[in-house]
Amino acid sequence: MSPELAVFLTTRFLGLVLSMQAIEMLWLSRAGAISKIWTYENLRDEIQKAFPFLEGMMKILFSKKGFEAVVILQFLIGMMTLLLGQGFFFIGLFCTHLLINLRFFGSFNGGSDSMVFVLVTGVLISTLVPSPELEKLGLIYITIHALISYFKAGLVKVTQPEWRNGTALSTFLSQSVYDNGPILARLKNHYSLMPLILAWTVLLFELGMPTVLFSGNYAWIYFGMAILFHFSIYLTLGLNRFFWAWMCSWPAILCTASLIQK
Amino acid sequence: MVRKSRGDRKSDCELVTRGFGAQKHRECMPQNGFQLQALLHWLRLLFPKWNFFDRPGLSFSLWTRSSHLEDWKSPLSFKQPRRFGSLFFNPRLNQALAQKTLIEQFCLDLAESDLDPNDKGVVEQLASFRMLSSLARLGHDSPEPTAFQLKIVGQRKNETFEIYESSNLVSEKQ
Repeated sequence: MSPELAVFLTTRFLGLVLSMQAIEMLWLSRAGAISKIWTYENLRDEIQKAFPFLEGMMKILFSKKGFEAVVILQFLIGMMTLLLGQGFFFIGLFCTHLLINLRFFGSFNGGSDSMVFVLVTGVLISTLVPSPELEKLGLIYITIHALISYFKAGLVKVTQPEWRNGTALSTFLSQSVYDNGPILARLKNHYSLMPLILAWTVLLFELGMPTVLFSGNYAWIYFGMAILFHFSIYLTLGLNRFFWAWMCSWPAILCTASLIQK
Repeated sequence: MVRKSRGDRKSDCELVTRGFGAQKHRECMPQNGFQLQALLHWLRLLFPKWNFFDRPGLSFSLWTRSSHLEDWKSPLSFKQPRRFGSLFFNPRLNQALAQKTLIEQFCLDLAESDLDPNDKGVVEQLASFRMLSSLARLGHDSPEPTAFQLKIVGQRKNETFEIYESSNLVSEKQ
């Protein structure tokens, strides 16, 4: 994949993803629960410790109108990015994404929010100043972070006996916000070895991810496996944001693999 | 129900919270003025750790009751049905995950801090506790509540133990 195509896909895709997230946030704001839990009053002490000179801004952010203004702004910039793909839009998206997460005391969805920051930063590097070298540098930045995320996740898992003996998956499935009881019952009654097989599939997939850079055209096979991996996580645990955030990183990974092959 | 030592609670809390990306947040006694650690906590997403589901540790549940004379109600449920189109739009589930993380974050704050869980006046000033009590208040359904209590119970395999029981908290429904 060429750098130009990778940047094109990443910018458009990321703009769409952030627009989708903005719609989710607007729905949540209108539903009302977030304004009763993540409130300025609950977080006043922490705000004063971290932002002693920005309390006024934080009060606006924690107001319903202020927060929804940020969310709507993210939606609009995201849609403009989808259509036009201009790099400077991502300055705005970086700010709105940061503000939205500040609204939730630093993080709403954890890892997927971190990956979005990585993607936005990489796109900014690639697009703010027209330069073939910077274009590649931004994509390499995204690639490094994405591959580290896979590899490190696998590394910390493989040290745990629950992952090596296959019991971890069943535990996480049972703790999911989805009811995975039928899946767990079927695994237990009919496919007792499947948790072990799946656990090692996950471990080998994550630990083997750095090799995608040296696998030439086989990088596309890794991409297919990544789609299956993240989609399975979405199906069992509901993590839709993780799916889209990591999918956005794959144009950069495939481009970097192409550059190394050359 | 088993009451665990602070050291055991700390290691147990660390096990599960890392699976959801919650970060350690050491909360000391309230201090005036800017604190760099507090700012870094707000900006922690800029410094990702990528520890996903690394240990199948504890699960936590949040219980409420209207008074110490009553039984604890069923724990707050975060279960969500599968919905068509949730790959693209899934706000209820993402909110449920964020709410669930509040419980884990409080447990981690309690384990990491030097606070005595029996010193409820101080513990219940933690930001994570205030958000948790707001969550519990939303989920506490009682016809005429003026106050309520919450407790957090941890479960690992066949072992269940109480992590924290609050003082009487004020309910908005009066």
